[in-house]
Amino acid sequence: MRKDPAGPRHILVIDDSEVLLSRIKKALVDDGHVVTTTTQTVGNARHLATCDLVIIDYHMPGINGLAVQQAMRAAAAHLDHEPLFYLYTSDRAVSSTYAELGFDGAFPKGDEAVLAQQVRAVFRLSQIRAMAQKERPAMTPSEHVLASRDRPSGSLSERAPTGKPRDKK
Amino acid sequence: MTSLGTKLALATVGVLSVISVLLYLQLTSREQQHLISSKTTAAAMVTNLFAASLAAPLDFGDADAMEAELGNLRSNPEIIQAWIWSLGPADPTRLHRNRSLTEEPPPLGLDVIGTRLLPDRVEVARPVIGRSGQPVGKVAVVFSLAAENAAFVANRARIFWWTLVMDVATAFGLILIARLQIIRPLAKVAEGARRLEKGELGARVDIDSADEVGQLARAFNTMGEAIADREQRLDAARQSMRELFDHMRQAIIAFGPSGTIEGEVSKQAARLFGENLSGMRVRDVLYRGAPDSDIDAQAFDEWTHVAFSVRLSEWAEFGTLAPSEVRLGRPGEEPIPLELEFRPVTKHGKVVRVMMLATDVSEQRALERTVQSQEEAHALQMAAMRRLVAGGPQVFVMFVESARQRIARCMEIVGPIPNMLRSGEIDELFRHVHTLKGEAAAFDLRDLQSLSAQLEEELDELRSEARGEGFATTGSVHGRLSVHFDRATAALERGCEVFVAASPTGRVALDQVTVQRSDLLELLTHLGHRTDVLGQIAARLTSRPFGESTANLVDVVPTWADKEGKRARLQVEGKETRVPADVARILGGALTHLIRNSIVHGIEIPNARASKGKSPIGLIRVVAAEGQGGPQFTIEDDGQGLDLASIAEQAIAIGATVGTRPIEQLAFLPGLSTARMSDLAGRGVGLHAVKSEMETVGYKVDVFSKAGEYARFVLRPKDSPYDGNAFANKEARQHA
Repeated sequence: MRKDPAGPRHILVIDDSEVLLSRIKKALVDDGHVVTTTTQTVGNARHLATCDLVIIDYHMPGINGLAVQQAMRAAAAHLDHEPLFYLYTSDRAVSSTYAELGFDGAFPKGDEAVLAQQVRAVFRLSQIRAMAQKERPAMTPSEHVLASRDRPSGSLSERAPTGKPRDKK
Repeated sequence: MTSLGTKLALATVGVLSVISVLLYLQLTSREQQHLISSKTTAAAMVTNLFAASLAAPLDFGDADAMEAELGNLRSNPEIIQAWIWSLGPADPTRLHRNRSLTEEPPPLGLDVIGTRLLPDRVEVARPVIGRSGQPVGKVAVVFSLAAENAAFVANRARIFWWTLVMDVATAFGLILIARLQIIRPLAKVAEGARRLEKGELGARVDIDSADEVGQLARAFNTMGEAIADREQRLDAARQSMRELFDHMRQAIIAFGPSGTIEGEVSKQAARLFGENLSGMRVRDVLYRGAPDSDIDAQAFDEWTHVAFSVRLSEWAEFGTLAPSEVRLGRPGEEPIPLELEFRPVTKHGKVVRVMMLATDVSEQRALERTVQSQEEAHALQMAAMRRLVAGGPQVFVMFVESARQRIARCMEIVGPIPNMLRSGEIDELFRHVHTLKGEAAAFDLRDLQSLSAQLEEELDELRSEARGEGFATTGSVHGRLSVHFDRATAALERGCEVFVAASPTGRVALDQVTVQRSDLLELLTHLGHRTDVLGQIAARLTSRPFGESTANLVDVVPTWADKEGKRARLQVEGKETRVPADVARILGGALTHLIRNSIVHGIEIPNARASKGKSPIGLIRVVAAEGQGGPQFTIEDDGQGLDLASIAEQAIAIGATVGTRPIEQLAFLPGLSTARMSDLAGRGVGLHAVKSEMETVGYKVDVFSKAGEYARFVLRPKDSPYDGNAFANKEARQHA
């Protein structure tokens, strides 16, 4: 298994299950990442400055991941480097609407090995896009439109260059 | 497309037509000239004769005579007209029109003398010379060219037909020659080229001529042979490459900028991904059934889009962004883990295809899991051993005993069928299970610990139920309790097995207690010489398990063998065999000598063993078995056996008397060694020392050997017969 060439990433995982968090942490740490886990749904903004990816459970007692994500996005708005927000749920109906909910993508819940693989893919994807941008520095607005049409829908492709979520139509 | 034959035919016909027309024109022109010239000559002659015949009549003015001469001309049908002029001094210009053949005006003036050629006639004018030699008149005769013109027309038609026939015949001949000599051979060459193009590598052209076409055919045949040879070599190379690909562990496919699989795929790829992959998207092959939102599949999609535009210098870095592993989903089966590698295929400095190598790492992952679980088990075992070493084996033995009793008591309380339990019984169950859990944790028996925890949960339910009534029925949990207690018993036995396997003394360890050695020796002093029951018990108490004597040898044998450039392992059997205290005291040393001797003299180097069909790792078996008068010990290696010739030679060399003793026994002579001196052997001390030491405790040493197969040393009480049963089933034991 190849490690992330960009080095260790900082990942924040928010879930109400300590057991699940410990399993996720083990899988991601084994994969070479720096992982912070918490069952707290508030007070996590302090992690955002160094965080590359935030994974949020959707169904939590008394609160859902959407509210947590919205609060954290608001807190991260002033940061130069905004982390990616990913939904973590086994609910396929929720998972398929991640973009409408303002998430950058969704991970299927259940298999930590699969999660680690998908997290690797997220970071790879951002690097691929950075490299593609470097290869093709000057793209006209119409090319941008065509390129975005050609891309598969969802995830990072839905994001504006600033990292802000793009309005869905 | 117009064929070469048609072109040649058209050209031939064209050229011949032009030639024929020119020839026809030339011939007709000459024919006409010939006819006119003859006519003109004849006309001049007739006119000259006519002028001569009029000299007298004109000189004398004899009109009748002139008329007569004109009458002569009338008989000539070719003469159309004739004029006669008379010239006199009184009327030199007067025209005498005596008679004319026609009423047409004279064609030539009086002053014109000569011949004029017109299309339909020839006019000839001649002077008439009188007697004085002076012209007296002039005559003009007009001849008709009708006959010549008719003859010319007839000749021209004949010339036309002859020319046409010649033209056609020549064209036919030329076309025929061209067809036979050029077109047909060229068609053969073209047909051969077409057959060659279709892959018929044996296509050749059969043309024997020595001209340029023949040379072309021979060049074609040579080219065909070269192509066939090259194709065969290419086929062989392709086949070789194909076999190489098919025998590689990796599944190999290649895809183009569109992300679709191109060209052939390796056999392994067809096995993993299915047949007919050509034209399929590699994304669909790797991420079969993945939804659009699958981030891994998305990343791969974008990677393939960018892969063909990345500069080659950056490909190494870009390649690291490709997925390194996927889990290939299969309906109804476990996904296959695949390790992926991607290599660019370049042309003119650009990536035109990407080759993907996918390796099925199922077995590797399974092995990793096995190794991991074994490592965990080993860690547990080591932890257990550490605890045992710290507390002594008897602590574990006590735990096992008490745990068995606790489980038995619990099963007794629970009973074989569901029943009612009082609160006190439930509490007792709880205490046993809780203690069992704690003790299992202390010895790292995790299965037992986990089962005890589950039992606690089941009992907790019962306890809650019993709180109000003071009792609870086991109906709802009885089955689960019974199963868990059965499993707890099995887990405890597995823990025992781990302990026994790890103990150098084997199962005996479970039956040991710690006592003071000094007390035992004192007891032996008092009772050791007695042969009654008390004496026997004392002897058993002071005896040691055979495993103790070999405990440190198992680990060092591979190291000793390595020093000699060999590989060997030690197999100990009969670990629990009781060894009398006096024998146990010297047995370790004797075994050490004999095992080192086996390594140096018996076990061959790995290559030599392999050439004999043996395992490269030599086996040294050390077996203890109860025998008459005391235990027997056998040390056997599966090496080359004793070198009897060298032993005899060395015995003579050191001055020993060989006599009638078996040569094997000479090996025990002091100072005799057939090996070069090393750390392990070569001093001629070891076997002699073994024999001497063993004799001090009433043992003798026998040696048996078979060249190329084994050497066996047997240590047995002097009065005890050799018991070969320990090796009777040698093959079966080794196999086991």
